[in-house]
Amino acid sequence: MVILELEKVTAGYGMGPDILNGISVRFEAGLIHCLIGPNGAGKSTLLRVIAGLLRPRSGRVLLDGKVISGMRPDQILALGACLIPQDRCLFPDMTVRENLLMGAYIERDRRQISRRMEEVLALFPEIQRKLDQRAGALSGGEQQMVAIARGLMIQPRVMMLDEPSLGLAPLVVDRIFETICHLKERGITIIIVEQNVRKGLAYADWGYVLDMGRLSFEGPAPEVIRDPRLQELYLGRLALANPEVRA
Amino acid sequence: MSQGLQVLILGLALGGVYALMAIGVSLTYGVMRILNLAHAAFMVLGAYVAYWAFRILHLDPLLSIFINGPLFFAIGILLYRTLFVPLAGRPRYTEATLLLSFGLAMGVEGLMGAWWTGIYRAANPAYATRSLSLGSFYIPEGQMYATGVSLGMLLALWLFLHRTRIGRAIRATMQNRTAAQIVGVDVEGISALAFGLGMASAGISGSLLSFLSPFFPGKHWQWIASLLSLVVLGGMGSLIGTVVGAMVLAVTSVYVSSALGPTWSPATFYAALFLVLLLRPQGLFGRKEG
Amino acid sequence: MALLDQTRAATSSPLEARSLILAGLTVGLLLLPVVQVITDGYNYVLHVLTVIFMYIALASGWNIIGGYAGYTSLGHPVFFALGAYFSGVLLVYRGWSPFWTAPLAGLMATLFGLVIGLITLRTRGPAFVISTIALLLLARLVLDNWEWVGGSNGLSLPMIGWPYRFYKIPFYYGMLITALAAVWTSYRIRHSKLGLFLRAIAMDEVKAEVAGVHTSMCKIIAFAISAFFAGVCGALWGYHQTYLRPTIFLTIGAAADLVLINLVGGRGTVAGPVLGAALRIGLDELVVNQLGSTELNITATGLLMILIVLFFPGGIIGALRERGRLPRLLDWD
Repeated sequence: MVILELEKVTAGYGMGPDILNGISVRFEAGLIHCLIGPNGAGKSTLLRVIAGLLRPRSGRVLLDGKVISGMRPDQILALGACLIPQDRCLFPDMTVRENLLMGAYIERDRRQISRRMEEVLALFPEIQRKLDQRAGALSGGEQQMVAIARGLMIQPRVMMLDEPSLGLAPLVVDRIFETICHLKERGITIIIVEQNVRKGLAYADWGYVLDMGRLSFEGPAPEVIRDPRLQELYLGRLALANPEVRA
Repeated sequence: MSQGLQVLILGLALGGVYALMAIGVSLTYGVMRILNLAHAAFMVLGAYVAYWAFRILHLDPLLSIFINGPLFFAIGILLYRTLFVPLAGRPRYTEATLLLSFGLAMGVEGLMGAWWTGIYRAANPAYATRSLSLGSFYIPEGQMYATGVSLGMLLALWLFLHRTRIGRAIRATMQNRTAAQIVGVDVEGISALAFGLGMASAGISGSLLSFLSPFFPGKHWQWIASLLSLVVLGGMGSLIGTVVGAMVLAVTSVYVSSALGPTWSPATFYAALFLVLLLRPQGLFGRKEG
Repeated sequence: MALLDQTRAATSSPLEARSLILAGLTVGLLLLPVVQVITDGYNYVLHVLTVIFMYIALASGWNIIGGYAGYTSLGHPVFFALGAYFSGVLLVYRGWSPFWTAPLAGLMATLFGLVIGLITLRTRGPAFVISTIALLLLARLVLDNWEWVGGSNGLSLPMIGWPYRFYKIPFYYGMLITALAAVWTSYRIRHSKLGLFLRAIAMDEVKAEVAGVHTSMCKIIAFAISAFFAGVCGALWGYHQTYLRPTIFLTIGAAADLVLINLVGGRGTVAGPVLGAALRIGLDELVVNQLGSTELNITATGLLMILIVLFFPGGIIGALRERGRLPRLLDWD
């Protein structure tokens, strides 16, 4: 079953050029999807469009067959799609507890909120102990966990993670990806944007390769890793950028 | 020694009022990077409202905060929606808001001058001229009430920002606007609310100003310069910093005033500003930007 | 008009026509006082033009830091006052003519701008604006209480010893030369590396710095140069008024005028301040002559500023350029 779908979406920032050039993608429910591609391919932009932070110039986005492009971010959030952006985007001067409470901002039922808080903390024992610390004082890995925990506070059906491994030590990266697999078991559809291609695809079910704002090709993750077109895309770019590599 | 302590008491009392006057500037800058140069002009407008309410309706200036608060809140929402929302997304947004509010300040100043002329005014309820003495110390009664109201308002604001859902959303927007959007905060609505609150604080400060010190339309430039100086000292966009900055500068200015004469007390603010820019441009509680 | 058209047709390059027109205009302005000498009826015209020249010089100077670099200064009246008091004091106590000391007054303003810039331009963005307001009010406080230069009562200067028929003429030339120098400087900076750096700062200071621009150095230099013309104008204007008083020179209104002139004409363009100054003073003469000066003038100034910020952020030059209708005559960028 397709849970999320983009139809010929074109988007860009301000008066700038199109970053997404009429891209069409479908995401199956309950899987881990990994978006890869060179810098500037439009991966992060794609996530921002889905989350409603950026309005597409044309095309539409559907969640459960319902058009969500053009909606406000809080409306999309209420429908169950949340985004964990690249720089984690925590509230640095708030405590971890307040950050989690902010995650449930659109939920008004207090009992519901405290129940979810317990659930989420059970998933991340590490941050249980740091509830009253300033979020800005945490380590990178802890911040990433708080960011994911904050996203879980609305019980999302689709969670989008923009480079969750960025700037983290390898052990921490493994811990994050294990958590992501765990979320999948709970039935959450995951969309990851990852620079670390091997790592991302190793945990993913389905891989998408983006280039120049279009979908270059897609397939089951293990096949995408082995696909010669992937090598070509990355190495070809590399060669163009550094002439000595070609020689 | 007791002379010094007396000055300290007066300074802290004054600082409480300055903090309320400046907190709105800090709030609007913190939430949406609007630098409202018209803040003090609206404060003086609030003082006129309180003054006329006192003269015509015999309403105690302290009670006029219940008129000025809601009135200026509404004016703030209206101004934000009509003037500042269209600027959203402009390159060099803060600069544009600064020029816009500069024009607004002149617009208000001119109207006040045209309606009420440039003569000095001050509401004179009975307590404005009385003093309370505690042992060998004294404090003007009006000043004490004004400080009480200011601290009450600041406490209410603090509780609102820390204990309520909407208040938390305001702080969240101050700390990271994108993140606030991501968790579903309607940042536009929050911004309008914050601007309204800032203006309400200007109106309430105006009520207090009406009997604390004489005012006339053009006086607001001196006020805004002092308020902005203490905001920069505290660190732009930091509410705690603003309160601390207000206390520090109020006490210093009272000392300067008692040592060199009241003429030089405003100079304390400007001198402190230059000192801060020289030593710690981000202010006491500010973060380095960029 | 027909002559103009012929000139345009005769020269193949429109740039040449523009130079010719501008040269013609300059020569015309330089010769205008001769008419006064012959006919004895142009004092008022000379006066208005003198004021326009002054504002052209002031606004073009302001534009170097306020337009190119995008750092709004509300403190320029301080440099104006500094120039006026410097030359005024030398005139009163030493008898030196401000016409000779005006360049020195400019240098003093530059030096002062350098020092102030070193302090206030270490920050990016709004703290600078705040510091310029504080500078203005601080200077006002100092001058109001400094008895040696007259305090708030001011300082009377001796009148220039020329007959009434001609006494506007030296001021006319003084301001004209200052205005030409200011516009020329502004033009040269606009087309220099410094100008490029300043505009990079206006667009994105962090990026400019990352790209290797020494941003604080550029800003301070721009601020100092900008102060020069305010100092020179102050020296001449004080002599012209024969009276120095803090309330004339050090008001927020005077600062607002400079901002508004640039906004109306188009800040950050060479021609903007020139156009803005001519319009502002021309309109002011009309309005004040017709309606008299009231408090509502302040309101009108404020409203105008709001309208321009909201609807014509690029000013006249910007609006024309956006529509592709900017005449070559005004396109000096």
